[in-house]
Amino acid sequence: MHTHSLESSIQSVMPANRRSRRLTWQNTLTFWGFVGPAVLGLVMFVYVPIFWGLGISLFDARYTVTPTDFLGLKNYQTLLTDRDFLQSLLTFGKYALFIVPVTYACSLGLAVLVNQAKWGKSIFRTIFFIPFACSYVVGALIWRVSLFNSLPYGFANMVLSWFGLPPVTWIGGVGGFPWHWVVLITVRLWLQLGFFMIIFLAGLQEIPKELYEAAAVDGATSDWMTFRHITLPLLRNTSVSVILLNLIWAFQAFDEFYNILGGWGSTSGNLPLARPPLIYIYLTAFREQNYGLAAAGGLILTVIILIFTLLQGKFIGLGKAEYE
Amino acid sequence: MNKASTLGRRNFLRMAGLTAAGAALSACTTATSVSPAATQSPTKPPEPVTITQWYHAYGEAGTKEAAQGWAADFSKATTNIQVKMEWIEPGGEYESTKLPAALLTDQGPDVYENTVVNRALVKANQCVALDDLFSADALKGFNQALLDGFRVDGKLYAIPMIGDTGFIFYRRSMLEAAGVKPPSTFDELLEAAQKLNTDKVKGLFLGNDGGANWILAELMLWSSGGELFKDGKVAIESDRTADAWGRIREINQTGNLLIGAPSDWWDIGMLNQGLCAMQLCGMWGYPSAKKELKDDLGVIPWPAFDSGGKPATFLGCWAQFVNGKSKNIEAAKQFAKWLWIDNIAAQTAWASGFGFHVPANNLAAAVDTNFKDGEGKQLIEYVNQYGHVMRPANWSTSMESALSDAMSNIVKNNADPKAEMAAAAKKMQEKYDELTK
Repeated sequence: MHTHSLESSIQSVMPANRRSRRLTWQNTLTFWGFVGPAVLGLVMFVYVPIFWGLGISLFDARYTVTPTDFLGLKNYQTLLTDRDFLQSLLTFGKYALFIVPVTYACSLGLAVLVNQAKWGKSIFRTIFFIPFACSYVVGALIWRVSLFNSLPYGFANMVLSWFGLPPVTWIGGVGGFPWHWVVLITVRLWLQLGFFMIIFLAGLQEIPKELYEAAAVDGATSDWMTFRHITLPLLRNTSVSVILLNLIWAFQAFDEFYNILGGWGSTSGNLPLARPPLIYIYLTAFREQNYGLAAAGGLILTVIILIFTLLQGKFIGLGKAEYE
Repeated sequence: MNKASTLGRRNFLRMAGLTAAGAALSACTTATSVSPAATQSPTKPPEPVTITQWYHAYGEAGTKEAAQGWAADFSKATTNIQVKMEWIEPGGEYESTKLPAALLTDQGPDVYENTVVNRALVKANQCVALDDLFSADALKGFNQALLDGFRVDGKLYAIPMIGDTGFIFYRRSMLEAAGVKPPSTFDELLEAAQKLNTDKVKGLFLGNDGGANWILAELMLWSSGGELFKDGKVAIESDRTADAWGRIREINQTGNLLIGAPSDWWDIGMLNQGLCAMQLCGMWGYPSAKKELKDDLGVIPWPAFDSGGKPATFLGCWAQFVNGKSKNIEAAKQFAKWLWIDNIAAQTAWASGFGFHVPANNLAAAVDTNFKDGEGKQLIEYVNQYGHVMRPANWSTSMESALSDAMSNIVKNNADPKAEMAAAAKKMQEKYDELTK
């Protein structure tokens, strides 16, 4: 006797053909009822703009998004020979090269420390994670206007004066060290570290305790040895995701650059100081209203991110089995 | 198990999901802006229309109410046209994001203000020619330099509303205490900033970027005797101007500039609060500074570069446009003419009743008591003698970026002024050719 499945119960109530068609139809309707709105949003706000952007990048689309003059690949050519766009790619390259390892190291360090805390683990976790909930714009403005403003009584300058050091022109200084990078990087670290710390914490908690005990028995003497030979290798998958996510977010850096170096009513004279590609594209689209050129820039940036992702996947590996 | 109720729950959720999707979709469609048919007397011939007018949020108190008042007056005067005035906040995002986004669609405002026009804008149908709104006398009454900035291929596309300009505001007492007279050349400005600079008060405020932007680029260009365009070509390149641009780096390196202030150059509050002794600011800051500093306030134009140049000041202009995609172009044109050409009292009030701007219509300036004597008269004279249009005809914002980039590279990255000037001129010429050829 077969089990009393739902189908067999329905079979006893309805004739055969109608029942199966009706069931399929109901299932389909349910499926689309739940998935429909999300898919619709995805199509309207993600896929349509992507393809529309691809389309207008081949046209001369100034002050309009329904252009008529076909340009072929001229927009791409203009961008790839534009000194300022190439400069922004270089700026971004240097920025990513710096911020990704620093974020990785700091968030891993934080995670290890919090993991080892004898008490208050969840308190510390929360404290470090809270900044992640803060908006980049708010963080950037606080950094620019109150912490790192260059007046003698700005917070950072006040701290310097306690050590007898003269006030520093943090943003917009001329010559000497580019202090604005300190401002830009600290705000991003403050906002992001909590999130990556949580990811690492999850990864750390996956490592079985027996391994550490076995290592102690086998003669692993220092913490650093266990860290290097047990913790790090077993965090490989987590590391890969963290680095990948970090790289993509760094590529999309916009909010803190725009708000610290310019934007919000200022004359943007500081923006060229550190102008990542996304800011360049944004200004092309909205200040100069050359939507075709900006769309081309967006596509170039996407391709670059894609290349980096694939390269990273090839060298570090994505999702391979961990336990050796 | 009660299978009937299980299916009932699923059905309910399914229907709820579909209804929510449907509701979301229908909320996305926007309503048209045409008002329903009038319900008054049946003998009303033209169909009543509603037109929308956009302003960016001016900072001065009372401007929004005044604009609403004029819209209401016009609506009452003409029985079939209703004007809906929209005050777009925040003012700083109007030109860069809100207005351009609206003008890309069919639901943009019918009448709006903007600062620039060029052939690409006209081609995208964002404005219509307004030559027919001006009588010969009215046309002569306007500031001709401002009018020229809004001509494309010989046709006039906007009605200038108000001009904005800037000066160096300073505290007389601080200059006297330091034994400095108001600077009349750039060298004197450098020296004054040096002498006025103390631990508590910086010598000069040019903006948080130290003046490394297109406005200073233009001021140094004009004060050293240069011009933006001449005979259809970009004419900024000259040794003297390259030298002048390099001097901005020099003034930054002296450390006498206020950098990293909580607000930027357009906020006269920096001078009012005593953060600096001199500040380059717009004329809009004059009322606030006068109220705060009273007789301690002095105003001078940006000084000549050297004894061979002249002082300079920039002239930007807000102008009224009619949207080419509007469904009620004739009504919109009628309103624009009524307010910004014919209504001299409104133009006068808009210029100096709330803030302090240069009326674009000289006929309005003539009756404006604020510019009749004293300092007001002096300021208008500065504008007439030393003013240069900052966005001449066929201007594009990418030219602003080219100049800003050049200044930024020179001032912050120690680049060679002549090379940067050549690069900027090349970019500007390319854009200019795109717009005029």
